[in-house]
Amino acid sequence: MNPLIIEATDETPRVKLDPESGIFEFTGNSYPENSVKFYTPIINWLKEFTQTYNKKNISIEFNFDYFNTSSAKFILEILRIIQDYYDKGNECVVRWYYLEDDTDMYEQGEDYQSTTTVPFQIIERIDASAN
Amino acid sequence: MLACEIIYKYKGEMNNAILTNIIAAMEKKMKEKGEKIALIKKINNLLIECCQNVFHHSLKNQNDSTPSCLIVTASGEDYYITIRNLVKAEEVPKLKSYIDKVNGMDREELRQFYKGVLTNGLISEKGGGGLGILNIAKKAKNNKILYNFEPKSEQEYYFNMSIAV
Repeated sequence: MNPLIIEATDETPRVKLDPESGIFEFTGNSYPENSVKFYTPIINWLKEFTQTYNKKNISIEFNFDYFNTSSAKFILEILRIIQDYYDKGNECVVRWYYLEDDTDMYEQGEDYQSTTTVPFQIIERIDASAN
Repeated sequence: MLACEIIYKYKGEMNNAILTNIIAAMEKKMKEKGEKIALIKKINNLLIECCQNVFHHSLKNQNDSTPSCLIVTASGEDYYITIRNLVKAEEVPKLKSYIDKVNGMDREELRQFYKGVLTNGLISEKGGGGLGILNIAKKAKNNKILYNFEPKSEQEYYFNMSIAV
């Protein structure tokens, strides 16, 4: 399988799904006008990955600045796909990054954490551009 | 009475390209004012939800555009986002009862309700499911949305919404 790499725009995140390393990264903003159009190829890629690969450790890195509510639905959909893969005995970890003091992003991480049994880490990051 | 400062105002068509410009302009202004990144993020997140709510649900005019009016003000330590758009008269009762329901919830109830809609609701192209309004209330100060409806004609109402941050 080829990696799926989508460069960031103002309104969509950089997405890097690498089947070899098993690292799936989402970085930046997510408020596309049409979330279905943006996320459908990602969802399809992940489904194909989980059907193609077995015993491959994966880590999902969510490093969002902001996301809108329709993106929120797709983040949940991604977590459901990872949950199925995890339930088949594969090692998975989710890392949810939030900027220090960003309680909204922290709580959203907690909310997603409560929907899954996949190991889910909520990690504070320091903004290097602050001040 | 505290002085009120206008931070940003916009009147005209609303779409994602304009929203991106609004966010960039707001971020610049807020940084100049020396505001913390977390507050800038919260305001931008609210602007995204408010503006996308407008162009996904507002009534379109003859040119298929969604005219809107947005104003961000600061008073003391608080910021206020006020936004106006047109809605169909028939949608007013439903919208009103939904916002009243959301306004009746405390922070924890909102969070649980949001989680329920998020995990059980359907994905539509618009997002839908009332999640936008819920998210606005969840992030707003005191978790309340101030609103009113002003009749423009028999079929159309102005929907005015204001939130403190």
